Amino acid sequence: MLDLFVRAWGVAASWQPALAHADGRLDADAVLAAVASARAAGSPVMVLGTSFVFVHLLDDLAARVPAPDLRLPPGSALMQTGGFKGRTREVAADELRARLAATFGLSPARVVAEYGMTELSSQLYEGSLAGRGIHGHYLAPPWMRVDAVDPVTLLPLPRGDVGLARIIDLANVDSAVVVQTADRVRVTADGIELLGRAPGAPPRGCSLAVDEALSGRAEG
Amino acid sequence: MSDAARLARVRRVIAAGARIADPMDALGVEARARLPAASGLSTQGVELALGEHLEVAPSDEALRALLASCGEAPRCHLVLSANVCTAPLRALALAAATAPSVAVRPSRRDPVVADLLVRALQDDAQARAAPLEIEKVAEVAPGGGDELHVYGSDETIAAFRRRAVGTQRGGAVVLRGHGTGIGVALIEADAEVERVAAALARDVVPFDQQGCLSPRFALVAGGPARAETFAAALAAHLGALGQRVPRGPLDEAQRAALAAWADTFRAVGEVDVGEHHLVAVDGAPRALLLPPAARAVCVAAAEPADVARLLVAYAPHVAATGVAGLPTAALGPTPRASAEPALDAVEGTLARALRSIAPRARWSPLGSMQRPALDGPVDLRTVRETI
Repeated sequence: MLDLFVRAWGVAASWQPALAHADGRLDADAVLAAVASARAAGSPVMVLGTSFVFVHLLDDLAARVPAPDLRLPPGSALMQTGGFKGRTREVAADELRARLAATFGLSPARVVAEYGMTELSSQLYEGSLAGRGIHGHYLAPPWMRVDAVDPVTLLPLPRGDVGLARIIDLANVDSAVVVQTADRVRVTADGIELLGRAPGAPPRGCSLAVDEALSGRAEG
Repeated sequence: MSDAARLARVRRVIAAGARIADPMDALGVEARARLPAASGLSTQGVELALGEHLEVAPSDEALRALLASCGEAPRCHLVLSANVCTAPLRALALAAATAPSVAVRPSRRDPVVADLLVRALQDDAQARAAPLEIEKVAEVAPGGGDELHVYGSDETIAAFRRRAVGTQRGGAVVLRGHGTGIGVALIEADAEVERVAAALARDVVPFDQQGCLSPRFALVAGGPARAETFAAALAAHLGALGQRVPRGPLDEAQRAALAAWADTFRAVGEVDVGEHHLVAVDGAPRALLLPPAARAVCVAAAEPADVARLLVAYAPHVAATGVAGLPTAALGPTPRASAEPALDAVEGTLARALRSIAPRARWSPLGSMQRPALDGPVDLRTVRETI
């Protein structure tokens, strides 16, 4: 999707294939070169990536002496998205934001998180980049609504209660307009708080568990 | 070691199981008191498990097959999981067939039947004379030449494999891992719907679907209307059985999983939510979604040509198949061995289509999926490997 925007807007962009190793990890040297180029040009840039890729990048850079210079030009920002589902390592959101801000020379307000999924046409973002909202609270566009629903009854819950996110996305013109997720959220006047994925029912006996089947971990 | 000696040991394990099955025996009384909390089954579910599904009267033919399925070792180390509550009997029978000395690590979550079997065998003079020496251990420590039987998730088995490699004392160990699985019910075009629905309900209720033989999917040949008729009949029979044998209590995560699964199916088909069951039917399935293991069944219309497409993702997990509507001779009295060539001979059936993608599943007539002969591992996908 992002490459469509890049083409439509005619902006300069470094796309993942240019910055990634064959195994999908970012090529830290390529990132350093791209940042240096942006700094030399003096134009603000937007860095987009998944949380897990950024963690690997930070780990790679932390091992280097002297510490490489990844400061972005003034006016730049960084967007991170995605969680750590199925990964072996998790980093707290606040810690990751702080490390990204320090590494790229940004104020924490210029590091913004996004929440979306393949099934949606629209996304939610933290509002700090637009000068509103607080970190950890995601804002939906006017054509999207998020309700927290009770996991058992699937009925909407009062504001402030924790439940599963049910998302109405009017931009889903050619697909389901309502998407019921297994993500736990709290909906308040400040936005949507993401609280992680609802744990599946624990395995019982030797029957194949639903999560086990979906993850493909089980082998006959 | 002679087969007679091995058989004598197995028979002592079965005798111990018979004490647990007997509601008048002290062990039977204790099992019925402890199992509802440990197993998650209702008291009626526990009675059904102990009274009708504990394998205490195997045929000689089945026992010969059991011996043939086992190796021989000086000592067998047994790691049990919170499997179906009756599973330790078969596990111990296999271990006793393998070795005169057995070390048992019971499940921490549901140790009841394993505890009672060990106690019964330690008190049994005939078992000691067999000789069958059995002890309960906190951790297993296999030595060279021993067998290690591990029951649990595939991750658990892999963990024991990793732990055992290179750490066992004095040489190679034979590992036999018994992982997780699912059952699939096949209702062929010639099956009589009402009778078969009753049979499938009898396979769903025992153990509340906690076992790897429990049917979770039911594929119905003959079109969407027939699948819907079958699902309605199944729901009615599950409802009636549920009144006699209620499902065990569900925790919030299980209730949430059932709610999510049911809601998903409302988008594509019909759902019957009973007090103790859940049946969903999809007349034109594009994909199958595994129901939670809590007396929930996904009924789907399917023709033989659809089977591979619908079940390919689940095929490695299919441990048991129950079939209705094939000639009786195709299954025979002991489904495990005699059915397989006959199944291959019946062309144009759901059974033949599934067998081509799940060749190691255990086959039986519907209504008998939860009553496998004591003829070896319940899950025929298990393999013995030397590590």
